Amino acid sequence: MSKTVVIVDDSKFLIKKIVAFFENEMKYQVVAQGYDGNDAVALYREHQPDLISLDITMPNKDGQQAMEEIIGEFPDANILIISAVRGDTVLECLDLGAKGYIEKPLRFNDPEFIQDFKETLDEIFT
Amino acid sequence: MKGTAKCFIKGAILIWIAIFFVQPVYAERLYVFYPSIVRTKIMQKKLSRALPGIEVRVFGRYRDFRAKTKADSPDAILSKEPVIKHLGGYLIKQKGIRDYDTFESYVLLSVGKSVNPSNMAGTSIGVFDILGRRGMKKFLGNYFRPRPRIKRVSKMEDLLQLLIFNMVDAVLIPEIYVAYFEDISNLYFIKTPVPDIRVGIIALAVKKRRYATHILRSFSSMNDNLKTLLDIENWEEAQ
Repeated sequence: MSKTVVIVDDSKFLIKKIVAFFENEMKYQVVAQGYDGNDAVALYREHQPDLISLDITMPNKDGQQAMEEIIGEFPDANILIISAVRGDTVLECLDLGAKGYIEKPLRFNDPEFIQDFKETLDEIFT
Repeated sequence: MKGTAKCFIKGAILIWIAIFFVQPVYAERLYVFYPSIVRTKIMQKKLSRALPGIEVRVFGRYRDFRAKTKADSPDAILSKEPVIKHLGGYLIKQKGIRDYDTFESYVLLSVGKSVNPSNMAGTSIGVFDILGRRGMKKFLGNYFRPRPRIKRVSKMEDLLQLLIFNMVDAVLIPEIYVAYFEDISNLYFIKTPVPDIRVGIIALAVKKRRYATHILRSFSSMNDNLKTLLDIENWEEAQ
């Protein structure tokens, strides 16, 4: 059975690309999509997926806050951060319990990037 | 009669003292919408820390900024000049300066092929949304003929994604952000200057019929770190 994933990013066109990547390349089942941190928390509660991908910079509630809430409620949650944010925030997210980090820009036409992405997911589930 | 007068004066003094001291301290409100490579949360934290006594709220999206500004009528707003003028109801008091200029230049950044700003027929461009759908169309229509197709984003980094996914022919950015795009990408960019577009870097505007004295004073004595955060070197009073 394929793994389930919830995708959360405030950019609609990026969500489309990430969804297509997870479904076509990774053979995941995308069970829901959200556009801010509030969506992330609500959708995680509702679906309890194998993985949730979170952007950091989002309106209303950012990815870091959403992550803290999700981990607070579901300590074993598998959270993948997909963001252009660099530096301390990334380390903070990993310290707080994010299982992996993918740095934007997303380059789904670059084999090296895809390989990195796959390895990051493998690490999360091993 | 004398006793009554004394009582009246005492009462008046007490009332005056009560009004003066019991009145809650009013914190002036400053709403900020400044398209930048700095994250909204970071800008919020730094501005709030550097402007004590001012209720600062930073917005990452034009739509949210516009809605909250219309609803709350903050004492002052900090944004790009076209945004302030588009909103209406605010008077520009201070303008940010960089390289002795309050305006900045823009470039079209493309990958693989250059674009011709004087003929945008069939061209699509990505822009950071500072005026909403209709506002951006009108704004860009002033500079590009025929008007290109427009793809709006609300984060600077998403402009790069538009280029990577070939969703637009070029993105329009302030010239100072070219280095940022080169830094976060290994793409070979073609830079096409758009001499017609010169936009005010950043401006502080005060709500009409309000004074926002604390905000204005704080901006006059703003530290250099904060100016750097806002991509400027100094402030000058608007004429």
